[in-house]
Amino acid sequence: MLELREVIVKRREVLFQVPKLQLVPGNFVALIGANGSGKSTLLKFLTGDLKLSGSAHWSTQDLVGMTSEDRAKLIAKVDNSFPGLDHMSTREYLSLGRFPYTGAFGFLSDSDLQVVETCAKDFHLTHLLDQPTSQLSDGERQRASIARAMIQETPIILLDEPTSFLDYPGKLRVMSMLKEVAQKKQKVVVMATHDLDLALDHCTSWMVIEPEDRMLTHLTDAPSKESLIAQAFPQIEL
Amino acid sequence: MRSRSRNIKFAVLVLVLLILITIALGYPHGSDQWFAFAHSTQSWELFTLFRIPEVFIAVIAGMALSISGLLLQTTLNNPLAGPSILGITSGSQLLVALLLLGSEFLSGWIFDVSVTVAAALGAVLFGLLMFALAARLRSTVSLLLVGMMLGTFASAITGLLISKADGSAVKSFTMWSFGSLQQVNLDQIGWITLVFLVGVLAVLPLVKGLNALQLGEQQASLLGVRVSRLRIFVILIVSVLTGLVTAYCGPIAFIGLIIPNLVRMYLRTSDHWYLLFTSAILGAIVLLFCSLLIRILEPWVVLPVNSLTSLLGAPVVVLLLFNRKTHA
Repeated sequence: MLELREVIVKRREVLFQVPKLQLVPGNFVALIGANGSGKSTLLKFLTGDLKLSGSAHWSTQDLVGMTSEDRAKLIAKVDNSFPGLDHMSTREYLSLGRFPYTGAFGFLSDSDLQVVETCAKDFHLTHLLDQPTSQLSDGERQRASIARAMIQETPIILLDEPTSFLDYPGKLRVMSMLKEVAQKKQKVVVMATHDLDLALDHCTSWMVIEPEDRMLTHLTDAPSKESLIAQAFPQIEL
Repeated sequence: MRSRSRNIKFAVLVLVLLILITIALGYPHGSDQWFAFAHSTQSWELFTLFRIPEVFIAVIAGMALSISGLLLQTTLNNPLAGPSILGITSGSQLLVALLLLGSEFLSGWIFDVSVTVAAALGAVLFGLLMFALAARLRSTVSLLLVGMMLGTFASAITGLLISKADGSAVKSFTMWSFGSLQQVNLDQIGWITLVFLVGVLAVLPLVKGLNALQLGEQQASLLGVRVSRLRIFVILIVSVLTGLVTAYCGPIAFIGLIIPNLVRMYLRTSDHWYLLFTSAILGAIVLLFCSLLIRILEPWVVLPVNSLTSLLGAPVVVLLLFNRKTHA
């Protein structure tokens, strides 16, 4: 279980507080808030890029104080886009997901290769393995990014607006993929997103940053779209 | 995969052949025959005094510069980085100038060691400055411009120092700054090999991290790479390797910039085990080829190695810039 306590998310001023938050494995959680509300800041706190007051634990392990090597076995992150490199094949890109488990020289074992192959098959990437990552379409590249996070075999996957560069079918595919990952592999998947409709349709719980109370509310029962909008964007009139 | 290892084997073969050719072939000097490797003691002396050290330093310098270039390009996430274009070589040059002009009493192995140390120190100073600036500059082109400014600045100070020096020191410094693969003697080979091997062995533990760093600083650190520690090690290694080459051959431009780009283009891999090894081999091939060309053209024109690499290199860089479609 991912547990946050007394976290104060701030940049120059306090954006919001998280008094207590518990996320159970098997959940696909949406993180909803306006631009600049602190979504990315919260994710950066979890990945150790940013120090904030408060604690974050995975069962009994302290996520804040641990080394980056240890954290790499617990948390994987998918960015909103990866530009791709002319000289990096999809296979090499996916293989980097095994990084936390390989030895000092980074050579892949047979079981590492097996994990990469299996995952590539699950995400329909097998035919793209020898293509340069720069030549994949946006959708394919985002699929590869999620596959790489899977290959990292972490109980927690964080995503920062993973659907923003995708067309509509691409968005749908990524959402159902993430839900399946969360439920089948019993992971905590947290996704910062602006796609409210998709989040309501596919996610299993919703975290909303409420700018007026400066609080993060965790909703486990599906809210209506109107109430979600009213909570996250109180300044707009419908 | 198979064609990749075939390419690498081919490159190694070419290097070995080129070494053999350079060693075995006499160069046409006036009435000398092409194949001058006869049993006269004179040509044997010429052979051990000049040809062996020349082949040796061409291989070492080509390898060291290419490895340095690749390390810089990956660490700065900038394919146009290289020790000379970023001003690291000029930093080296500045400190060597200080040493050469300031101390005529150094000789023998103390001189060898102190020139290497001075060159490496200059490279470290300018390398650190460069990395500090790189942290604030995201654009490829502005980083290169700043690097060139640093280089120009260092060269200006070097010029000031030279203008105050006496005639013989000026001459020896000027000759040195043209760059030459013919200044090394047999006795120095041991020391050069030692420094080179230390530098190369220090790269090996970094390879895994370099592979991940290609995904960007943030993703690399999420995979468990300690990015700032990796950076420091890279600066130190690049400084030692570049300093070594600069101390013994003078400044040699473009090798470090171009070779890794060619290797990436042709091998199409991001695996630094392949990239480092092949860059080293190709760097050695190119510099060896340059030394062969210089010797062959010698009867007609005396080409300093730095001019030759620049003549060949500058157009290639322009081509590379034109071929870059994204975020230039």
